[in-house]
Amino acid sequence: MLPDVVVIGGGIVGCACAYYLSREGVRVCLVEKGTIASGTSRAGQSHIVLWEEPDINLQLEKASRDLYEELSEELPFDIEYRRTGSMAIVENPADWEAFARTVRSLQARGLNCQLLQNDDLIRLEPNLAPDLAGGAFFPEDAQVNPILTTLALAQAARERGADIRLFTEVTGIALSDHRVAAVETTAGRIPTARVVDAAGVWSAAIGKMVGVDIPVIPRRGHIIVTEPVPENLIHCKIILAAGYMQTLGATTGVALSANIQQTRSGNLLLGSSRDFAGFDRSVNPAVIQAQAARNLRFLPALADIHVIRTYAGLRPYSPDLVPIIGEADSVKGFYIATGHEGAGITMGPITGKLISEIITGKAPTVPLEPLSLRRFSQRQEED
Amino acid sequence: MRVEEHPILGEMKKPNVVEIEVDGEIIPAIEGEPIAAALLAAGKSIFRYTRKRNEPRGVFCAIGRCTDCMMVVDGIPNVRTCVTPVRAGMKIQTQHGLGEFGGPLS
Amino acid sequence: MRETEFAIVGAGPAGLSAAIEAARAGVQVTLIDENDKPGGQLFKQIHKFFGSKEHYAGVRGIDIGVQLLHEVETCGVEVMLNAVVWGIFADHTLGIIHDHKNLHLKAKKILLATGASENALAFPGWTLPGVMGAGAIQTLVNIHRVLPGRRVLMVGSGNVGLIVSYQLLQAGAEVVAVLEAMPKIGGYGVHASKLRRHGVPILTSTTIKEARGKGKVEEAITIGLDEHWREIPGTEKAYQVDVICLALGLTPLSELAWMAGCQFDYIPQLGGHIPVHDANMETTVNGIYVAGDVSGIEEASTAMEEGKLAGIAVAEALGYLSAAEAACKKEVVLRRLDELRSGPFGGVRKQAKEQLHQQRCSQ
Repeated sequence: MLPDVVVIGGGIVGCACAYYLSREGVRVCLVEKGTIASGTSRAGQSHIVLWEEPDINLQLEKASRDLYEELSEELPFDIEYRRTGSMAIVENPADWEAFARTVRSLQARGLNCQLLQNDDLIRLEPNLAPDLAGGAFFPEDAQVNPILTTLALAQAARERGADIRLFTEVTGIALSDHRVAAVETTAGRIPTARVVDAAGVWSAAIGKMVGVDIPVIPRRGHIIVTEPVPENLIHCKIILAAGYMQTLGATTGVALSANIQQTRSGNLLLGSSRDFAGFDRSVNPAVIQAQAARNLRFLPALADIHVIRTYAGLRPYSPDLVPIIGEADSVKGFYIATGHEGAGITMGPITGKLISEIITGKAPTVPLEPLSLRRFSQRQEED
Repeated sequence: MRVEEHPILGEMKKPNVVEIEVDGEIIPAIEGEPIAAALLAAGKSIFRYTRKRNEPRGVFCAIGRCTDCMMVVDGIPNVRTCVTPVRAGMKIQTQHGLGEFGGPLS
Repeated sequence: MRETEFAIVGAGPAGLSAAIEAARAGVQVTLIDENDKPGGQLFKQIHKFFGSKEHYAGVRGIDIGVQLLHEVETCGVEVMLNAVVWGIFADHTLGIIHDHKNLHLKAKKILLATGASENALAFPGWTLPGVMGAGAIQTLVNIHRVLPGRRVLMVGSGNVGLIVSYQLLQAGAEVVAVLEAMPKIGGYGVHASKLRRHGVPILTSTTIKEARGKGKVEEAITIGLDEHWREIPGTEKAYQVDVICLALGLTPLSELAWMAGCQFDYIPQLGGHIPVHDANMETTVNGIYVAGDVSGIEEASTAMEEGKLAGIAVAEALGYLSAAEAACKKEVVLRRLDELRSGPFGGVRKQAKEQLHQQRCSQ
C-alpha cells in the first residue's frame, strides 16, 4: 500500500512526525539515510527548556513539555523523563541587572520562575563556585534522554503501522504540476503526494530538490561526558550559565558557555559550544579544553572527575532561531519541519503534532504563521 | 597476605610502612604501592557495592581498566584503587553506588 | 600546543623498542604512558622467555624491562609518565592529561602501542570479589607481592594460564586445578609438565559453571563438556577456593586507532578487531603506526620486534635513515619475527599477519 506521507529523517523531529501522524491513522513511510537518532538527536544533552524566547518559542516549548508528560506514559519504553527544573546562573555582578530584567519579564508573561541571590545559590548548590552573582530557578523545565525518546517514538510509530526504512537516502523528489509525486531513494522510488522534510541539518539540501530555499545551516556543538558521579554533587540536574543566551546570537568564532546536566545514569554532560564549521562533525580538542575550563569555573569539583568521552554534533540553525514548520507555498505536499537549532529535543514532540494537525486539517495547537518559511522572504521584501 | 619470600624475586626489600584508614580502621600499607594491594594484603576483598543491585565488587583487572575496584579516597569517589598509590594518612571508604563527595570540594 | 617528531603511546615492550630504535637514528621521540612507571606488562613476566638468543631466550621479562629502560634513558627519549592519552585528533594531535592538566601534542608520526586488556567470562557469580584476571594476579603477586587468596582455581590452559598457575605456586598459593574447555591443553607442553610435577591437575573438556560465596568467592562449581561444548549433567564438582583466576586471552586496546579512523579487520586468531597495517606497521591512516598487542595479540618478544620495525620505518620516513640503511635493519628484524612466528602457534599468527599486510597493500 502506498504511503500517504513520506517523512525524511529519523531524528527526533522525523520520528515525532511519524508517531503523531500514524496515531491519526495516516499511512507513514519514514526514510533515514543512517539509523534512528544517528545525527543531531544523539549529539546533544537532556534539557527540555521552557524559557527560550521569542514568544512563539515559549509557546512551542510549553506545549511540547506538556506532550512529554503524556509521552512519558504512552511510549513503549522509559525515556528517562523527569521534571527536574533548571537553574541559570550568572557569573559577573555586571550582568546581573540585565538577567534579572529578563527573568522578571518572563514572570510577567506568566512563566513560573524565581530569582536566586548569591546566598540562595550557595544554600541550594553548595558545590557551585561561591562567588557567582546569582541565578534563577525554572521549576517547569524537565529532562529527557533524547536517544531513548527518538527510538521510542520510532517504535511507537512502527506499532501503529509506520514503515521505517533505515539506510535509505533520498536522492530526489519527483514533482507533477508543482505537487509532490514521489520520493526517489537509494532503495527505490516511493510514490506519494506528501513529503515531510525533517532532515535537520540536511533539510536545505532536500528543499533544493524541489526548488524550495530553506535557510538552515549546520552549527556545531561539542559535549564532554564524565564518569557517573554522586547525586549530591548537584541537586538541580540542569545548571547552565545564563551567558549562553549571548552565544546564541554569535555569528563568528567559537562561542562558549557552561552547561552542566546530570543524566539518570549519573554521568555529567558538559556543554556548550557554538561554531559554524560546515558539516564537519569532528571534535576540536582546543574547544573541548576551553569548554571544560568554562564548566570548571562554575563547578570547581569537576577537577576531580574523569572525562570518559567527547563528541560533536550539528544543530540545524535557522537565522532567527525559530523553527520552520509548515507547507511550502510553491510546492503542494512539501511540508517543512526543521531549523530548531539547539531546541530540537525540547520542540520535537510539538513539531510532530503540528505537522500531523496540518496534514489532517485539524486546528493547530500553536499559531503557524510565525513558523512559516515565507517569513524570511517577507522580511527581505520589507528590507 | 604478603609474599615475603620468593624463589625468583628473593626477599622483599625493607618497605616504608605507613598507616592508612579504611572505613575507620587503621591498617598498615607500603608507601607507593596501589591502595588495592594494601587492602588485599590486609585481607579486605570487598571494595564497593554496585548502584542498582548493591552487589559487592573487588579487584578484577588490577591495571586501571575495569573500574571494579573504585572507592572513596579522601572524600573523592570513583578512585581506581589499583592504580592509585598509597600515601600516609589516606582515608579510604567502601563506596556505595556512585558514592558521595565528602568534605569541601576542591 | 607542543610538538614532537615521533609520539609513542604506551611504554611497554613495543613502545620502548620503537623509541630506542628511532631515537638512536636521531628522531626526536616522546614516549607517553599512563602509569607511573614504564615497562607495561614486562615487569610481571618473571619467567624465562623462549626462542633464540636474539629474542632474549632464557632471560626473564623483568630483566628485559630493566635493560630497555636503561637504553631509553641513555638515548635521549623524552618519557612522559602519568599521562593519559584521551584522544587523537586531526593533524596527528594527541589530547593528553598529564599531572591533572590537559595538553595537546602534535607529532609528525604516531605509534599506538597501547597493548591489550584481558577477556572476561560471564557465569553466575562472576562479579564476586575473588574472580580476577590472570594478568591482575600477576601484577599483584609479581610486582606488588600480595597474594589475593590461598586457594586458586585457574580457568584457561593457554600459556598465560599455565605460567600464572606456576607463579602462584612459587608465591606460596595452592592451585586446586586448571580448567580447559577444549579437549586438549592450550599452551606449551613444557609449562603444563611443570604444573603436573607439582600435582596440579589440568582438566580438559571442563569449564566453570558457577562461583558461590557470601560477599566473596568461597566455592567454585565446575562441569564437564561434551564434544559439542554442551554441559554434561552430573559432572559438577565443587572446589573450596577463594580465588577464581580467568586466563581467557586478550583483546587489543584499539580505541585510539578507531578514533584515528584506521581501517580494521576481524581476525579471531589475533584477538578480534585489528587495525590493518603494512610491513612497516603503518595503518591505513598516513603516519599512524601500531605495534605490539594492539596490532594483534602475540607475545612480548614479537611486540619488541614490531616496535623496532615501526621505529625504523618512522626514522626512514622522517629522513634519518636512508632507504638502504632502513632496508638492512628491517631485514634483520623481519627474519627474527619469522623465526618467532614459526611452529604450530606462531604459524597461525604469521598467516593472519600476512592477511593484514595484503589488505593494506591492496589499497
